[in-house]
Amino acid sequence: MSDVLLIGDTLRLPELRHEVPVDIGDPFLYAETGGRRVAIVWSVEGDRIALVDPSIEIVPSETFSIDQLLRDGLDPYEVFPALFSQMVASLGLSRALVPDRFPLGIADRLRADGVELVVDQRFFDDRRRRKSGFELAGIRAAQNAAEAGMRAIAALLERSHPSGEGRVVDGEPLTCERLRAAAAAAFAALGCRGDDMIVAHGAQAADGHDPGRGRIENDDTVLCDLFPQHIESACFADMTRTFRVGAVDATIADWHGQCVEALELAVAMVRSGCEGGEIHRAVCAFFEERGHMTQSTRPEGSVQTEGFNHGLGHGVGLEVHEAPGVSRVSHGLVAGDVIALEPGLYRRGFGGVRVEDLVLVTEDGCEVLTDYPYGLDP
Amino acid sequence: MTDVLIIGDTFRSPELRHEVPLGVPDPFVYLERDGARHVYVGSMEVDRIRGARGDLTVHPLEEVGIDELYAQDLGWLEIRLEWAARACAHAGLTRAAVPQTFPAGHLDRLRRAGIELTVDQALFDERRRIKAGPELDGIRRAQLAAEAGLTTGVALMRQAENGDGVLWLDGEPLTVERIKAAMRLVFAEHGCSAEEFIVAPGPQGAVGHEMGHGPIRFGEPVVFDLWPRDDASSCFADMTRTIVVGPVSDEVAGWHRVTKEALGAATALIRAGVDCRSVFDAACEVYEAAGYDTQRTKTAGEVLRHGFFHGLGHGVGLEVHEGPYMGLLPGGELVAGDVVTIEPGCYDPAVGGVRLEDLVLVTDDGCEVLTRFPYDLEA
Repeated sequence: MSDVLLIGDTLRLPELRHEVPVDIGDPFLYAETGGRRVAIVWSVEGDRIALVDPSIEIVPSETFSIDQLLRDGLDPYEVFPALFSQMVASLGLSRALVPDRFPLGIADRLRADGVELVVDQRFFDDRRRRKSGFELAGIRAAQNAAEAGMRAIAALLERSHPSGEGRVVDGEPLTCERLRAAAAAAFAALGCRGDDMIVAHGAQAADGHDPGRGRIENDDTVLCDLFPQHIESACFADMTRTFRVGAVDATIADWHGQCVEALELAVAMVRSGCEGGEIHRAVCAFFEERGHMTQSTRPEGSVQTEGFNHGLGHGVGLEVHEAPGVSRVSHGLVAGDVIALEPGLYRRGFGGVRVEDLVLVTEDGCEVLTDYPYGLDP
Repeated sequence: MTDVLIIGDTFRSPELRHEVPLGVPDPFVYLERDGARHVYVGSMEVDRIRGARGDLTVHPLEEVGIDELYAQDLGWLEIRLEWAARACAHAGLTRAAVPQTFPAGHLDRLRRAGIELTVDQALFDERRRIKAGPELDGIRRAQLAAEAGLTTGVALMRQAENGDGVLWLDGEPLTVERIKAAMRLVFAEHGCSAEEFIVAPGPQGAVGHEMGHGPIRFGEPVVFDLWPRDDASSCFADMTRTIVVGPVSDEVAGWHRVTKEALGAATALIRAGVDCRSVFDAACEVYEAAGYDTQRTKTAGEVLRHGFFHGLGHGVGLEVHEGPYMGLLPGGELVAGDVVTIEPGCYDPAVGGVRLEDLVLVTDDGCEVLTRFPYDLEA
């Protein structure tokens, strides 16, 4: 079995958070070698790691003295790479698998000291595709918060009424910013956070990850893509609904019907063993039959500004976008994968519609984790 | 002029967020070639990044042949490696400084393409050090959120009653979890969120980054250490106060007195040009004179658990812990525009601890204390 080496903090390195499921904000070392799992971590982190996973052996970083390094006149920027190199040497590690994001500054030092580091992102991705019970519970908690956030947005839209300058609720202008604040409060009440949700109205909805801004018009379409993170587990959920207020727009209503149908078609295909790319292509074919451009039909090298211009889906877990790919980048699905499926139709300058559900892949199908109506009416 | 290459997303790479000041969740390529700034990113992000900063040349990946890569049945990482190599070729980049956290997995591919990459974290840290404009505004908003959150937490403690040795409120024990839930709502109302924060009663307060849990005993100190992040700017604040409901023991009152004195002594020294180590020394002297251990008095290799066992402070900005560091390590001199914490504390693992932390903006002739909150132990 290969040795494994991870250096980083658990807020930014999902590979490390999967092994050490506690939030540790400062960089530390985790290794698997000779059947041992070892974390070398500053004692300010206390017993937090041992409490969640007693199989990890804890060594205090303080047992590696920086005094000698300082006496050697090392530049402060060289102290930590040198300290990590001492730690690696103490474990007798000579060759280890590391993820793509292993810090280059430390890799250079370790390699100079004769440690062989082999980047094998697939190895770490595969580990993370099998969610732990704790992670899956976290995803469900995040999904629950996403739905609460969506309800908070829908309630404001539903209570809003037209005025001379756009929609109003409780005498105050209704804006994308206000809708986001309502969703953020709903997340916070459920132990989740989400600082980059999309609540985009009108033409903004056609602009990819534009988070949205400004006043909701009297007749308007609001695309809400919410991906809160459950704080304790650091796991995400991901869902999208599109709402319409005021006068009906025939194009939006038509696109919405097609997106819901495409989503149902995609969900029906999901099961262990199915290729993610196959589901993506089926949805592309569905949209192409209805006259839309997709990634499969657009002229190569051109920027696509209308139709279905993104991938159908992606894995969700410790990252909001992770393996497996359900798009032009494809993985075979396995039971236990959690994937988001998000068909959408757009036209730059006009607007867009997207609906997105989160599903858990099982042997013979999937469990839809999203429990929220698709309706355009908030 | 040094050329620069950063690959990552702006949530996890503070170096990249500083250059491209908006939330971009998926990895992309940023580079500087002869002083010109280029971004190579998926086409759905192009308009937003152009809108965020006028001096960026933003290239959709179609310009470097992304479609042809997709057609080759490559994996994600392989596509990202190719796109990085093609972006460098497109911009004519042959030699670049990269941050310490540059993904090692990209190294071999780029070096094979003849690109020389040198880790120069100091270059990136220097760029991020002087806080101004939207980042400083963001830090101030996060600081207001921290104070509002703490006001709510302290108010809950003040209303609580002693029920058989633990705090009760509205017919239920007032737990750390209840206090945190109320504080999170206040952060959210202020456009901020917190990954985690410390509300640590009794002995938990002496365990470094223990986040705290469970009921609170009457008369025990509770350490509140808060570092909410402003969503719009992605910048943090950081503050700590220690609160007791019930009788304060002489020991805890003594820790509080000496900690406040150390905070005052350190703050009085802050100004541009002062050596970081000398500020740390000033705080240590206050503790040592009162008979407490510090990192200066411990023996090499010893794990210190009593007294003032940690560093004094650190920079705060796009990261909650960043340079300059005021501790045992040489930290260099403070410069005007640094935003740093000053956080002395005194602990005993059997009892708990007292920590006080202010956030200050370094100026030419002193500092502006950004934290406006009383130091009192009593709720």
